[in-house]
Amino acid sequence: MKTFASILDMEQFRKSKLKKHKPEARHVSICCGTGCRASGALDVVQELERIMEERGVDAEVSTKLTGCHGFCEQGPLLVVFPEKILYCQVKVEDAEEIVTETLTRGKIIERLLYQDPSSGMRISQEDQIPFYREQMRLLLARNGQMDPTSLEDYLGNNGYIALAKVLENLEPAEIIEEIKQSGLRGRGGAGFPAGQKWEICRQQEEEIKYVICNADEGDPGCFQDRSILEGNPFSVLEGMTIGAMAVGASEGYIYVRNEYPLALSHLEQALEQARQYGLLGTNILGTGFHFEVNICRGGGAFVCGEETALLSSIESITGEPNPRPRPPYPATRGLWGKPTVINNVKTWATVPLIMEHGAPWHNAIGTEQSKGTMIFSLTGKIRNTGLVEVPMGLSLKDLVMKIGGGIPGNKQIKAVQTGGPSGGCVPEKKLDIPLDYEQLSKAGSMMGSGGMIVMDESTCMVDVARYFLSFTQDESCGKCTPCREGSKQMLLLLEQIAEGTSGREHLSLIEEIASSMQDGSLCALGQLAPNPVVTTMRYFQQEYLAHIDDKTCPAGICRSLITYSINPELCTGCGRCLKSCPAAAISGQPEELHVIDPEKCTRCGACRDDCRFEAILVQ
Amino acid sequence: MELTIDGIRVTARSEETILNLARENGIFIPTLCHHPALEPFGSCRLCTVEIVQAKKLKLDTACTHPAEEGMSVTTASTRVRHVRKMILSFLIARCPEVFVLKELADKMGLKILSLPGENMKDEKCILCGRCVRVCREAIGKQAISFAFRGEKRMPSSPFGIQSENCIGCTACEYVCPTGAVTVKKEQKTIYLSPWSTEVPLLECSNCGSSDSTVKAARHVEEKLNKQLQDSEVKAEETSSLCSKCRRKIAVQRLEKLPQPKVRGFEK
Repeated sequence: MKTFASILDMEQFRKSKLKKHKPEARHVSICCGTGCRASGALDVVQELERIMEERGVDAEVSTKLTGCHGFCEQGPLLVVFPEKILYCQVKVEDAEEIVTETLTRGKIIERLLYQDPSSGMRISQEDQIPFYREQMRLLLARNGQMDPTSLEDYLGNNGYIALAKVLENLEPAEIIEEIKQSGLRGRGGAGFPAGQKWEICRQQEEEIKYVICNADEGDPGCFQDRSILEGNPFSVLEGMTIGAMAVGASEGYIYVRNEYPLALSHLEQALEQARQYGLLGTNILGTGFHFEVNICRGGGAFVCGEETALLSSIESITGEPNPRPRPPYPATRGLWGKPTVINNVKTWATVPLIMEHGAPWHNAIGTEQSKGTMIFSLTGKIRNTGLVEVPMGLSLKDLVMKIGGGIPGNKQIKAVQTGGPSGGCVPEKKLDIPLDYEQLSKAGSMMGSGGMIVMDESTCMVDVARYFLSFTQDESCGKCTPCREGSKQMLLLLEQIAEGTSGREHLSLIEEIASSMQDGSLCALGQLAPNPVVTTMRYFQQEYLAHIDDKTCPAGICRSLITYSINPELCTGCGRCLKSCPAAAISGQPEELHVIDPEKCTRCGACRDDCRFEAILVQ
Repeated sequence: MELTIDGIRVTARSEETILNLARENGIFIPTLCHHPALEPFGSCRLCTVEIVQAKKLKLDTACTHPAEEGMSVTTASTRVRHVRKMILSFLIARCPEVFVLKELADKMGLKILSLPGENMKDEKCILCGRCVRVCREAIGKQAISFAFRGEKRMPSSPFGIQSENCIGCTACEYVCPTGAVTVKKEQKTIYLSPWSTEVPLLECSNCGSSDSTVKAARHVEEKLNKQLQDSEVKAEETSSLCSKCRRKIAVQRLEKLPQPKVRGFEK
């Protein structure tokens, strides 16, 4: 392996690498992100390679295992180049046909193509699919093209161009100016201007400074940081290196949760290679700049994503928020008391793009106050789940309807929860809001780390509030009273509402607890925990009152308030419900009306899911 | 620097906390987790105050927030009183038997709310962490720490069994504001609860009585020897004695010393 002695050395290597690269040559890229791996991508790869070797196809066609393409719903995904034919939900059995038809004869296999659910059309190319067409993939652009464990491949995909440019032409102050001009704001949730944070850190007259990448992504259903680390770890390293140069740091930490084994493994390989090639360590590219990065693995506490808790955790103290009065912020006094810049994975990964394309390029994307793109994890009651990257300012409705493909099963959309368990629910009537930091806050929600859960009419908002609060209550570190005790009391109250054992006075009690948590909690976890409860109470008051006054759950979710029965007019006596019931609560002879015993029924809903005639009634 | 607390003009030293400054000036701010001998911790949040600085209003704890030039602090605004009312309601729901909580609420004229999750057990710990902090910060032993998280959080000896680091100094019991930590002496042993820890008492080599533990005496001996290396007084001489005998021996030693010559008074 080579070590680049200078920038020129690296550029020559890149040139020779690109010369060998033939874009028109046929190759296959297979998504091997965590999602596609779970649906069997590695087995497909193995089978493909076996058949190709058997037939001697491997001499001309290469396979590439890439990071997450984002369309996890349709995984495992496989793209055949140069035509960019996208095959969805590829199984081991399909490998044979792919090799004989597509790889050797160049023929498209219709049945493996993506089928548009609304038009029924088969679409052969990735960028023609509505899910991808409406996106603006900058951070995720290289995810489907490069081997995340190969620095050479990263170089072949314009990697380290930004670092070379910075090392060659720019003074630290100029880097910061560029970042400031670009309008980049922290992608971790709060949206603090990155350039300003860097500048504060730079101004500190300290010998030792640190840069930290916060990769402790913990929101349920969020996996954008994970996908970047798994699919393109070098972009984060490059961003951190540029950041370190700008603020004057020579050491960095990446704080990754240990629940991300693939991200950790790819990061470790990336670090190893970057060191060997001379892109990390002492005298980077012969410029005399030193920078080293360490990985710090999180032990599973959600609260460690909070800055001060994260710092404590790296310092080997219990990962709890510290009541460090702020200011001073970590940029002035952070890790081990030294000036420290902490940015999210997405923020760091954006830095090389800005340095490569220039601040005006980035500044032109997005809205007045929120620039660039944001990645959302689209999940819930939606046709296309997966990772979507869109310019700031796109309306929530467009994201859900156009990219997400709308709600499956002819149901009405009810609300969208943004910002994870600390965010809020945006109701259907407000879906026109543009996605940026300010507009989401105004609606009572927040950008957060980009979680997005879509809910349809069969979702009970009391149940949603209860679910999110039970998450934060469970993850509360317990240090401060309002968060620990408040979330516990509030959860009990919500459970009473869901059980139909509460009165109207409990609503005001919830509000009182909520405001004391918002005003009194030590860190953002407790301050924001009431958000899902407060927003659902604000936008869906009638639903709460139905639970309290009428003791009914309009969505038919809260188990204590509903009964299951069978509509005699629709039941055909097919017996499916009888078989699906785990509590043996359904009886009936074949071809005759079936009956549910309310005493035995656990209201799990298995019968309703299985009934083909919509004969199960929930009241 | 100058600032105002409840409209009163006060002068602060640099890095002084709002709480300290208020107390110096006779202004009452309630606290539970704060202890003057320990580092600010900011966990009970009872000392929350309203701060206006650079036209921005925020709520923060007085025990952790440093006083700054031009700041305006309100110690009992409606929002602050609401936070305190809820904190005390939460803690009383958790620890109905702890008298000091109700006293504090009465003193501030706060009406405690009845909450659904009231604890019917005789829980006394409000999780202020003074015991854990005094052991680590003041004594330097870390014999106890917090275990679990969220509502399960509790101060505990490692794994809830006998703590080998505990020297039986009883500082944890001394700083506990609610009586959740208890110490029992029985013959030759001291029992610390809830640490499931027992430490043997020191038997005075002179008279046989006990007023400290063996480990605590050794701890003092170590600390003193570090400080008094060149001094004539050697701590180890006295670390096996009770306090009465230690003084007695000191007097005896004085008597053995040669008589000093006092010039000018000789006859």
